[in-house]
Amino acid sequence: MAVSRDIKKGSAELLVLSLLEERPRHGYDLAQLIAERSGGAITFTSATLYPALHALERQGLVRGRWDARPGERRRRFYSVTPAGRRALAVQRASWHRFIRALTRMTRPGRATS
Amino acid sequence: MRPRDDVLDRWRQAARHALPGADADLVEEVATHLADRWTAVRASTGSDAAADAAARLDLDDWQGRAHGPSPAISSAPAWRGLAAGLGLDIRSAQRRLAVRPIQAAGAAVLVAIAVAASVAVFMIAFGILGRPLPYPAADRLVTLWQLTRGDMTQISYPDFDDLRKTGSFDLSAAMSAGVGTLAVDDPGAADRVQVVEAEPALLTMMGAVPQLGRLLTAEDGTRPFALISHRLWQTRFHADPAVIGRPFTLSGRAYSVVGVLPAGLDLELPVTEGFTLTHADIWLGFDQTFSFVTRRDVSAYEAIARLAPGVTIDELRRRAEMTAAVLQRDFPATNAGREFRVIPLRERLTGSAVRPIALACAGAAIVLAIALANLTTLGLGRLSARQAELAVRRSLGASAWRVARQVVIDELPVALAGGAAGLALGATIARTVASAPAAHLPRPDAIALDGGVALWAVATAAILWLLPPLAALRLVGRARWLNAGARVVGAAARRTRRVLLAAEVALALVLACGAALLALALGRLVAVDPGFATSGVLTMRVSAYGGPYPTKADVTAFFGRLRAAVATVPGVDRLSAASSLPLSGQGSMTSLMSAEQPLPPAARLSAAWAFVTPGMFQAAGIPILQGRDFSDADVDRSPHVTVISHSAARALFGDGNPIGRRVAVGGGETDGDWHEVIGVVGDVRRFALSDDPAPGVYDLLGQHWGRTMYLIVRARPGLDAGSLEPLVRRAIAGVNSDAPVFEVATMEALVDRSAAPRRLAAALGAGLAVTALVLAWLGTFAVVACSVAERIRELGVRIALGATRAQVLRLILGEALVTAAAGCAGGMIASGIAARLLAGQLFGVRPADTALLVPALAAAVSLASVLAAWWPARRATLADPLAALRAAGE
Repeated sequence: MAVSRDIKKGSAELLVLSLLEERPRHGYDLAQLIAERSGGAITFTSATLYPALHALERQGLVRGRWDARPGERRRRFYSVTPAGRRALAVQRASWHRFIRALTRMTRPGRATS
Repeated sequence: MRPRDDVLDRWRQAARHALPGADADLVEEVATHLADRWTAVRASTGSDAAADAAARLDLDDWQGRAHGPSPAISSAPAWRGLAAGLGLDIRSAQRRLAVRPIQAAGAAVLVAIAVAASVAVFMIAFGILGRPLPYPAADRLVTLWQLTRGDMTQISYPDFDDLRKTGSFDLSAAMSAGVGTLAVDDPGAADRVQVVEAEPALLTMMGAVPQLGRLLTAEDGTRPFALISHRLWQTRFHADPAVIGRPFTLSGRAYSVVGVLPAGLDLELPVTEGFTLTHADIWLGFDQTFSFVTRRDVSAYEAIARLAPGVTIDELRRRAEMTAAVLQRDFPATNAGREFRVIPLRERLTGSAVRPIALACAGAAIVLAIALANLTTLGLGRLSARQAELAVRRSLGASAWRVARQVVIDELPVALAGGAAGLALGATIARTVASAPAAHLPRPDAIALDGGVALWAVATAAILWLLPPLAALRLVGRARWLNAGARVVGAAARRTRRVLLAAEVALALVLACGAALLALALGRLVAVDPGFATSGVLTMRVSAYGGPYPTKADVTAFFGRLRAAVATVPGVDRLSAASSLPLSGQGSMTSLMSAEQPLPPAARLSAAWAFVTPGMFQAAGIPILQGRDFSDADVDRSPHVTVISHSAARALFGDGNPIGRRVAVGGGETDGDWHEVIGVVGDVRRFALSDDPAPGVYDLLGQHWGRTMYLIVRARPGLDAGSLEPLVRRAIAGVNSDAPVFEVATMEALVDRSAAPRRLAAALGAGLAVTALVLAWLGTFAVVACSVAERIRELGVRIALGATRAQVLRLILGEALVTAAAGCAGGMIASGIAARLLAGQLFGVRPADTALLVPALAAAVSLASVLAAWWPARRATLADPLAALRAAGE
């Protein structure tokens, strides 16, 4: 089952960490990926993206490193730290708890609020 | 060597410019990001301009954005960081407002209602209790009264004179107030005017500076000179600048104007419960040669004094106590059991209003609390809709301050519009209440809109503006922003909303119960048997002034002729005259003693005293229980005859038959004036409906006398007593066209006035309670509607999975009922406490009434809540299961 958009939106930290878990990426790459994968529903400008990345870095969840690849501009690549992986695991677990709760809630005949 | 990158260089410059003070890493990263964006757009569109626009748009997003709590920008002043992007927030608020006009209008109405209630009550409370009196050193002004066996009366002049010899005052004045008939130029057009005869120090104490002419001196007491009010000067003397020396006639005597007082100068002094001296138009000198001035037994003067420097009110009270003790010893015949009573002028003026105002303040506070809860509820609804957006902004570097500021600024237009409307509405309500004659509020002129009131409105609006969104933000903030999905936060907000709603219902129930109890008490008060007829009776005062009626016999004969003339008026059933009237505020107290049981003056029965003409009891509807009424033949009888009331008879003679027994009225036995009791009548409530029926004694006009009597006219059954007024006036004019007729009122109107303070309290309470109930009702509606809107998908899924629409309806209504019932339970407990606090105001209300009323109202409020939930609940049953399933499958 796919996840509704507002829930994705509300879990931006999870989103960024998940994308970086696959491999290190630079900011522009992240912005493109998010826009692409969200079908354009979520767009990050530099003004929203970099402060968030820097905040994650300050929390020790990601690490940024300048790297220059041949024929490309010099860019800062972010990768997930071990602490970041742990945080991601916790967030994933809470995400799945939420999904399970949603499933239970939508079973017929039981009143919840 | 890396090739030259013009694009990067260009955007590096732009980034440096847009992010002043940011660290080099961030600038470089942003510059690279913009250059990448430019290159990508240029590649896909082939247009430099499009690429420029795309990168510029991205960079513009930094405009005014806090660069995060990064130390990189610590060089910027703190205020600039706090104020950064304010313009953006305001523009965004405008856009958001345009998107939700109905919701915003609803919130503005809420703010307006709460501000109006707050402003109206503040304006009345501050005007009456807070504003200084308009006299110099007003906090040192005191009023002086006499207390004799528990009855507070005006003061006797010799006693007052002895008190001021203690050196406690730097200024003091006795005065006597009355109503006179004024004739200027044309003697036919006579007006009733308030006349004050006062010692000169009174106007000095009031800080009076004459607008024209001069003030009065001690010598003016025996001279025909008068000061006139600014109002009278404008209305009757056409603001004539040469008015000094103009002659006029006051109650048959010639005077001339010596001065005009400035506009706005007035003395307001409650003398009795029903009579307040105010709007004095003519001021006369104090006649020191008048016989009352030397009589210790006549307590007929009002007295005001200003405390001498260094003398406190407690010190004055101590000196008054000592003076009273000396007078009791030296003049036992008149002063036994008599004390002084010192009351600060301000307390005397406003004391009666304190309780109703305190009640109104409590009511307005409750309305404010309900409005706050309602606005917080609305705020929570909006926040949970914006939850995702705010969470992203927060996670992407917007500080908590920025998010809070945005949320708060969104509400600013609502607070401004609601606050302004509330101020206007509240001020109008306060002015209307102040000027309503039925309200009988003290100091109505002090209830005015000014800077202080405006400031109060601003403060109230600010509370309503800031508290709800910040509270909502905090409540939502508890559910962790980043890690919880919007739905989880929604559930937390929903729970909070239900708690707030329950609190609203509880508060509204308290206010409703308080108002209902006050109304019930008012009903009981008006329905109480006062001991006399309250309908079908017209009353008026008629005076037989000096000139044509010099003696007792002349005055008695005049009222005899008057009775005969008025009796011929068609529609008049019975009529009579009396020196005082129940609930008129006028009345005398006297002492009563039976000849068989002599007592010292201080130990005698205290009774209300009046002298009347035959037929008074029938005309006024006071039942004759034993013996007989007076007859005209009794005037010449000796000994004098007296009718006493039931409780006086019980007190004097126990179960024995009082008829034919002898009593002394007001110490008359010292002159050998024993009265024979000829009848016993019912007790009446003399000064207020809430008084207990009290002992009374009646003498016959002719044996006792006074120049001003109340005419009591009983209309034929089915006839409106008020409609008789013109005919009765004509009949009186037929006897003497100069006889002043004043204070014309039906008995119903007097009963109304007596109940006025309680009616005011009940009316204010009812107004606030209705407001509170409506707010709570709308709150219920909004909360249920909001909850249904948020859960519409869940409800659709329930229906798709087999829940019947009736089950969904029951689910929503059940939730509303549980919330309302929880609120009502709390409200019932609080109402019980409120009822106990109100006990002093609740005439005739028994605990059983409260025990019945509170649960009944609670049930009604619960039912109303379910009704409020009905429409949104119906909407819930229309949730589309297919749409829900499609959404769930996304």
